[in-house]
Amino acid sequence: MRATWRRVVIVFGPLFGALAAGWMIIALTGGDANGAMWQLLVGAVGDLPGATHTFLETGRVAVPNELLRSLAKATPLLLSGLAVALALRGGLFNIGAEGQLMVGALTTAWVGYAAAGLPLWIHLPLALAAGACAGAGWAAMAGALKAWRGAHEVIVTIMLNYVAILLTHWLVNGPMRDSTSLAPATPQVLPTARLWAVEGGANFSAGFGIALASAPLVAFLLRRMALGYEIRAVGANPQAARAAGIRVGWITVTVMALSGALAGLAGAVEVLGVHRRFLDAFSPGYGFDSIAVALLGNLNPAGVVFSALLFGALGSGAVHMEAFTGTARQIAGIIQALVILAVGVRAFRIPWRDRKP
Amino acid sequence: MNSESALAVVGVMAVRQACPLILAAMGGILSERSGVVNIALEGFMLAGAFVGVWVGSTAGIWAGIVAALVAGAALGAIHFILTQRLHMNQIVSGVALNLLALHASTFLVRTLFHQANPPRDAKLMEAIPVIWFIMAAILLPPVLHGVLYHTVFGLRLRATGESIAGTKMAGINPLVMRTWGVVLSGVLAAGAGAYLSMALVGRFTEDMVSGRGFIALAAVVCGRWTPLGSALACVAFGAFDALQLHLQGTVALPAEFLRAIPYVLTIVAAALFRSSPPADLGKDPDE
Repeated sequence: MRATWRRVVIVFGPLFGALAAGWMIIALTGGDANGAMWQLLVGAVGDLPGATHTFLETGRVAVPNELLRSLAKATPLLLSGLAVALALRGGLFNIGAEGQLMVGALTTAWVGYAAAGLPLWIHLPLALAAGACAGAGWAAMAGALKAWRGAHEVIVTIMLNYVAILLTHWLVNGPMRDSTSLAPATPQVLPTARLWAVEGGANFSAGFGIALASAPLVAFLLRRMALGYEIRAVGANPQAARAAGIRVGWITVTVMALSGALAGLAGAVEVLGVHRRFLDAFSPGYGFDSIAVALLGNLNPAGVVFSALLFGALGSGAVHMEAFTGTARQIAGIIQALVILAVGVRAFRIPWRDRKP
Repeated sequence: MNSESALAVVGVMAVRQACPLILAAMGGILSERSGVVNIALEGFMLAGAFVGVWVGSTAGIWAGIVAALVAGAALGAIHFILTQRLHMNQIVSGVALNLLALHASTFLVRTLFHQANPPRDAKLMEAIPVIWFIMAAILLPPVLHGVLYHTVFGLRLRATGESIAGTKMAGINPLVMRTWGVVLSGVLAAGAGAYLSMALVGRFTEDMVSGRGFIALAAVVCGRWTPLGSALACVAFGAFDALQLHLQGTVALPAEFLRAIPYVLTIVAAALFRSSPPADLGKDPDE
């Protein structure tokens, strides 16, 4: 019981602390802090009490558009948050989720528009798998350089982010550009490769289901499979893992590839579910926010689901808040950064810190 | 344009681009040589760029520069306290400080100046001479080389990065050396940011550092954590950048390829020079 309370405090303490700091920043810069925070909440969940009331009275389910938008925003955060968390459980800091997401998204878009004549049940999985594979390959480069050349994965993944952004920028402005589109973008993906999405511009698609289903899969991998055990062993102590006969180099490459696959999938569902094409620089930094998601989720798949939903709501609520109160939406980013700082200094030991270099 | 004047244009541009990289990279070396990973150079630069313009536009140029350097020192001190006293992971702290600097500066520029992107001609202040910063960037690498390799302070700083246990045994307080390293890295990186906003354009725009902090970090890796080598890498990266700006649209080679060179070179350098980083880089002082 005490352990449960401890957990609640560990998660909600930093969160409410950061929200309070956000409130103070708005108040100090001359804004209407109460109004802004209220609009943040309204923008995050919409008229939830009203919808519940309708459901209880009439049995009709009407999910508020704002809530759908929050879930849509949480989708890429959830997948890339799982990516960062999985790599960290293996003792690797994958700062490159952003790059893996971009490469995955572009590859998915390419398969989505170029592979014509396939039935939906082949085309859609193929496009998703292509994105995951591209992300996996991009991340595996960092894993391989770490395993066999000792190159620090943080340096390599940071640099690969920029290479990915420049590479996709070039491709989408040059060889892969749709000449009929005003903004730099690839052609639209074919209807056979599109994920189901709700009408009305909430951006909510079946991608949310894919993201939600990935969390138990990652949990199963980590807790029940031999590979997951090896990943955790390498993350806890590579020397001991090597002594126990685990091939540390291979595990390093594998965990980076799996992590990159999740990040690539995040890009893939954004393309197939939301934009229906690859738009240049479409990601507002999902890959970087995912580090906050993974840390607040305590590197645990269920925790990552929770924190992705939370940051999704925060992000979409902030857009609403900006429109209604004029308070700049970057306050959500400030709150996120403060959450990372607060979570990082919390009292108990975190697994990857126990690891000797 | 004849080739000689084109060369001069590219040369001048290269110096202008390399200058902030050198300042920030020297900061990176000070921090990492004392054993503290600093991926927050980008955030420190952005903070310096914003604070310099913010204070400079109301209280004068000198106050702006001093305020920018103080802001950098303060952020460096925060990074030090979080990682060395509160035992936070050094990369987590760096990521969070980068995010904080990015979002806070954007939030404040929108809230205080009431504009998302100030128009090009709307300078918030008189620009200060570029030449001061260029002189600093030319003098700093040899000075830092002298300090690191020919003074007691430099020896102790390097020793802290190589072996925390060893420095403790020799009666040196590693935390004192790391304080110097991290705080000075904040000061230098913020100076680089102030150069961008105060000397080059005279205004602050959202995310105006746009990855230069990470290029400076790349130069540290490529220069194998030495001041002269890293300064050379900065000059080379500045030259690529200038060339890329100059050639844009004129040759078949896409500009993105030239812009990617520093990042690709850094990956190659990280893979080749495996013994270069300080041995105890990233190690917690109490471990």
